Amino acid sequence: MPGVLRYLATDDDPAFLMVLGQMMAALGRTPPVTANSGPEALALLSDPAEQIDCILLDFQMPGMDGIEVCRRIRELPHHRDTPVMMVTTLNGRNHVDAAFAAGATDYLTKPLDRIELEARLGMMERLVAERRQVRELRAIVDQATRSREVRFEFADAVDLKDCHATLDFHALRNYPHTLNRMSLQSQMAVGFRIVGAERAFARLRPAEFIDYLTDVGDCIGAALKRFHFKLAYAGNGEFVACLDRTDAFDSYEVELEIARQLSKYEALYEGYIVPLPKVIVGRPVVPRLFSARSSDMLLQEAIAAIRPHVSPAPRLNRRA
Amino acid sequence: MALRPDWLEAILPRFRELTGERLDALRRARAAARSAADPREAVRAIGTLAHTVAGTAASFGFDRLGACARRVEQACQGPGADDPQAARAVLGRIAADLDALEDAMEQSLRPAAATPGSWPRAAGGA
Repeated sequence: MPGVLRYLATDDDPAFLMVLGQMMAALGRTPPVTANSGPEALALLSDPAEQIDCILLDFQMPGMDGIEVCRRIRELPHHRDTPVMMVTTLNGRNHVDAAFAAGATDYLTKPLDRIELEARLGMMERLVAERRQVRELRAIVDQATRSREVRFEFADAVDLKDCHATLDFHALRNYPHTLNRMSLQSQMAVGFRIVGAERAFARLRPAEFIDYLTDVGDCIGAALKRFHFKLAYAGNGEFVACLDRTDAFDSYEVELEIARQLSKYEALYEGYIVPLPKVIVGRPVVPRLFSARSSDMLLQEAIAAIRPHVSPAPRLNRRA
Repeated sequence: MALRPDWLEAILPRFRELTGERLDALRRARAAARSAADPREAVRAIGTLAHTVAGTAASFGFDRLGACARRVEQACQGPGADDPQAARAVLGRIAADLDALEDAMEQSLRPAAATPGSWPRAAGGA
């Protein structure tokens, strides 16, 4: 990493910048980008696209001194933790405290000594590497936190973003509203219930429960693949689908097909804290001709039809 | 005399050029200090010049020049230099140091000039 870091060196003395650049090159570093004054350095640093990793800053410059420049650097959001090394002559070391108060990370004395410079650059580079690592770890933790600490209730119709077969439930509820009366008559709704879903919700972490639902959603989708359907998770361990109305839909056969699809996950669930999901498929619910009931009611009825307190409905469409 | 690394030899002409300009500026500032009723500005200018020279002279192997510049820098930045009379007193105290500084600057302008034994402390290998 040392060779690839981008340094900015600010000093009003061109001779110092030349020596620094040559000495850094001799130490295997990329020579620094240079600025001859504080305002010039700040103009460059205020552009995040410049990607400066470390800053070397002379204390004593005409106009704006190094301490003021350092203070202003710390006001730039993208340079709040960029290492700043103040450069001072032996006579200027009494200003070091003020520089640290302004946000400096370290200091280096002029004239440059190769051994000291190498040690200080090494320290800055370790700091950059550590801060990068911290940023990367923080990003990973944040991402994990976002995905793992999703909080929802069992009844919530969470969106299964990783499931290829489902829509968001609210989108599905809106779908029948887009249909005219005749088109709505050509639809039917079917509910699907995961047996023991509430126990699974209690035992799994939220993200694990979402994975669990995603597995089920994908399997229902696979079982419905010969139909034109729209499926969503409706909360409470229940899915609901709107399908083109057809006599070919057989709840029992679809249930068997879902079980067959889920059996592919058998090895994954073996010894897991919840058993392989089992899905019950409800009877198709169709809009009644001349009925004023809303499309929402259609979905609700399909869901109600698979709830345990509802007596099993006759499988109207089972083929002989 | 110890040898400078090649990379430092390459930038030495530019250092000499800058030192020549600074020597002229130092002489002008000393002349201004002698003729001015208030020498504070001249003292500040001399201090800044000395600071700049002190920052790099030793890197090029000019240890004596660096040491002279540091002494002058320290005196000009010391307490009391903000008062005109004190500034005049500072100039009086460092007259010999300023002469030595001018002399060291002149020496550094001569080809192949460097303080024996000063190398390679400041820079090392090529």
